Amino acid sequence: MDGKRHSSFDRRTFLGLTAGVAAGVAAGVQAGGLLRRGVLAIDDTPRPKRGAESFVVSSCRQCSGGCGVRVRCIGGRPVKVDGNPLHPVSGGRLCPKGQAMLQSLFHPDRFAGPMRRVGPKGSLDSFQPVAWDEALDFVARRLLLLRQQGRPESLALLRGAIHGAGGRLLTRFMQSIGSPNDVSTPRGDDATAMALLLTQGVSAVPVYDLQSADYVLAFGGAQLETPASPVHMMRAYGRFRDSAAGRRGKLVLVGPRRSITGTVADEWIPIHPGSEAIFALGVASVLVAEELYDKEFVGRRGEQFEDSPDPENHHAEIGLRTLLRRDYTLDRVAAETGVSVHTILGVAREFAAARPGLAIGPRLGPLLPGRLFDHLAVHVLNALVGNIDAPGGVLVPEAVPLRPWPELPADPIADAGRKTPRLDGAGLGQRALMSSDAEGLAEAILAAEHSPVEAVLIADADPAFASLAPETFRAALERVPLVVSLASLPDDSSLYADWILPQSHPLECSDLSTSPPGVPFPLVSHAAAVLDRPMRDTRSLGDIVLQLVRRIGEPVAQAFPWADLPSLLEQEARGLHESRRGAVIGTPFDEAWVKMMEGAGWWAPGYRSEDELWTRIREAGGWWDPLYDHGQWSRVLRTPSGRFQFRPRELEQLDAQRGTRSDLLAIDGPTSSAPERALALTLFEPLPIAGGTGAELPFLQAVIDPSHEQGWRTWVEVHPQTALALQIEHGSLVRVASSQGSIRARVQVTERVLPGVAAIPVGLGKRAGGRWARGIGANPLRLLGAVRESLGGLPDPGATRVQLLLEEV
Amino acid sequence: MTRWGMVIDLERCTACQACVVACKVENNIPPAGPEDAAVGRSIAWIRLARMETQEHGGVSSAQLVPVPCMHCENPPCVKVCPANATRIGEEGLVAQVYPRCIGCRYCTTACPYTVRQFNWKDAAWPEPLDQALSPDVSVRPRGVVEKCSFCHHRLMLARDRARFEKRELQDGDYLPACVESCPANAMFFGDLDDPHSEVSRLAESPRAFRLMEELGTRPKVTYLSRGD
Repeated sequence: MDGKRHSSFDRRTFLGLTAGVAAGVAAGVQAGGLLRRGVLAIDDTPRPKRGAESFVVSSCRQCSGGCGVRVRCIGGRPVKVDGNPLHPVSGGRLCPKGQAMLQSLFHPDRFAGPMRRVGPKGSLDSFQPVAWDEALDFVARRLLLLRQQGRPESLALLRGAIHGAGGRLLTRFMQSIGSPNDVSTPRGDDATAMALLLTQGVSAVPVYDLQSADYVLAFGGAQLETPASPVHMMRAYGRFRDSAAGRRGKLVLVGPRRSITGTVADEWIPIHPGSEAIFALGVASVLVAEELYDKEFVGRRGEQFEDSPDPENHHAEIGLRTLLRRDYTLDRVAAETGVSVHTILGVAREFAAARPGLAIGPRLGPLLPGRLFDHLAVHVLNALVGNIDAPGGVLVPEAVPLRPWPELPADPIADAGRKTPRLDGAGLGQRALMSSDAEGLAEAILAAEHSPVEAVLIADADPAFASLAPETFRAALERVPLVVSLASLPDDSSLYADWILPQSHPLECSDLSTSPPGVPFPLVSHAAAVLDRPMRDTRSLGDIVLQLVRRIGEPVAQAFPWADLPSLLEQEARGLHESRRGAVIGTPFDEAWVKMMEGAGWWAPGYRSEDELWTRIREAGGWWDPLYDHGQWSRVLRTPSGRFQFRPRELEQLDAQRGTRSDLLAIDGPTSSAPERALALTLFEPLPIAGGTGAELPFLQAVIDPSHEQGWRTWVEVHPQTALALQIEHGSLVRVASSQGSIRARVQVTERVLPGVAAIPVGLGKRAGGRWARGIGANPLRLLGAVRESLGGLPDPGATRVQLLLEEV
Repeated sequence: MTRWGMVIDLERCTACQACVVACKVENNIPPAGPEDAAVGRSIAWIRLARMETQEHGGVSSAQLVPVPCMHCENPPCVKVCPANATRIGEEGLVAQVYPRCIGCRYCTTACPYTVRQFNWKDAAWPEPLDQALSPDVSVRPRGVVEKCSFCHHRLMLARDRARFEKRELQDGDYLPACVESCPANAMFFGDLDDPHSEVSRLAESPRAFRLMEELGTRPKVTYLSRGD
């Protein structure tokens, strides 16, 4: 304890002294001095300054959830962030990450300004401050050189989920320089988007309409903890359980670990890891066998359900019905999943009886993809009960009508560069269904003798920590000649950067962001800068891009015809007026009014001019169109036939290309072949540290998992039977070892996981990240092998097996 | 008479802990490090308690329950305080008067809900984290006990605002930070004596229960049990 500061005078002495003074005991000069020192001793607690109260409307970017916020300021100083009550995503509410936002704004370890590396890679001590002009000039010169050498494609971008203008500018930046290597690192939505693409022909992240559902079958475990937009989902859950309004939905979790969602759920059905799809198809087979499926939807909107009479195409011969009857017998499903036949029957009947029943694919978190097989199987379940684009079902988000940008100027260098094949291999061969593949890029950098990537920009991403191959990325970043990090706070990837161009905090700049994944309606959120000027010598992502292109010069700069960021935002917002729909975000009454008017075919803008719209968007915080039109089949079923593909044809074409045979029969990753004593690694992302961010903030470290008091360190959950078999105890320190490496973790013996499973949280174990994250816990992503699932080619974190070895203390 | 109380619907709570963090930001609670956390000295005015239950078949189940100060009608902490540093106000708020607290910690022992916490050391905010401190809530010195105040400063602000607008205080004018933040709308707050308020209606629900009622503390935080 800190005793030195008040060693000469503590509080009790002071109280005694004042009592003495009051009693009239003569207090000499010396005691008077003591008294003054005493007052000072007590009074050295901070006295926050008073001032006028004001509120600024902005948005939260602690995750990609897209919440609108209202920041309370005292004397211009932000002191509290809450949800913007008018905002349709947050509705005045906020999650713990959003609540902790001010700790990231005022974080003591943020970069003070641009930095240049002068020492070896891998250490923060290697950096030296430089001026913005010097840094931007250098980077621009190098990019210009790449273009002059005719290989602009050797520039790569690694980005996180950015829904603001900075993200759109980065896309344009890569296009105008002339590189196809625009790579996104978070993968949590990959498999679910692929399933939608294959079955419905739509390229989007599907939206689950939880609030109107009566029965939800959630696979995996993170539906409530870390959905695409946490606050939107939790608000929907509140309405799902609105007993006061006379409705109470039932939530059932199917998975190998009883997550927080499972604790909150009405029922947890533990299944063998990796058998989610088999369980879903087992339920489907009951629905079909007992004629509980939606015959109208399946008949009118579906395809490949019944056997096809076409004798030429071998794969199309049997339909889903035959396939389920043949391969998904209850006995087999029960054996593979470890769930009793009785339970499967019960779930299937409840799912069919509760109209609508909603199945949500295995959600693991923002970083971790599920397997395509699982997501396809779960999505088929929704289609079987006709819950596609119905209230309480799976919806397809609508695009946001921001004004499109002008065409790219003619530029032969960029045109040629863009046409080169992607270095990450996305869109080709086994990765045909992917739009980008971050781990593939890292492998490509390491595979060749010289790195095919000459320069890499890293924005809102930390692949050396938060990717499915952090060590591969670390090695890859060591090899790339020019690494530019746009991190605001030191992260693991910035340790390997050559230049750091620190971005401003979201509360330090204005922005216009589009609908986050997970919400069905088109939404544009405006964020105003809360501080007049950034705390540190930083610039907004958009400004950094605009300043770089100015320096690179024509014809690249020609692709950016805006004077500055604010004028770009204003231009884009004009598209909202031109779309002749929607309204400025408002109260529930405003929402009902707009819905009623639009439902009747009217447009009720509530403003008179484009300028007024722009002013009101900035005042309220955004624009949206609350009316979701259900059953627009031409929009939500965009397969060649316009029907839902129960056994996607595209998969067959892919098979022909890559010589594989993948249909819904494939059962990969069997649990039975695991070696002796090896456990199935099950990773999960607790909300406070999900997506690889959050551990930097002490308030979030303190609340990582409410199920047990385990902040500030990494733990591994095992079942009591497993602990007994391995002779390890609750609280003991173990080394968790896979074929790739090992980490240290504290054992939690709990019945929340199945025997044979080792569950470890993702989000701790940073090498950088400031004083509260550095060296705290361990990163289990380092344990993952380079195994990919067969159907979609996605990295498969579920395929890793680990051993627990007791550490000597 | 006004009697402020809270209702927490466990059916809706997703254990996200937005309430926990919102409270820390609102009430100038200092950030704690791993050392403090390891010895249970990091402060939180509301926390999630894990309550184990035994299900059929021997599989244990747990429920996560947000626990703020219960602002008991019959508060055991008030009875044991030798310095008159904790007292129950006219509107039922159990207040902690920091300048009077002598740090004896009788109250932390007497509170059956263990929601009272002691400042073992001087609070520290590494610069510039101190810039986010709110002037509405005084920063506590070392050696005093603190606890949830139901964001009493927000009541004073709401009163000022109502007075300025020349109207009576209405249901919903005054909400603690935790209630305001709750994403699943699982927390409610208001006047338990006002028959028209949402909390008084919910507190009468057949699902309503209070923690450790058998001790006679008469808590003003009511929980609504899950209906499964």
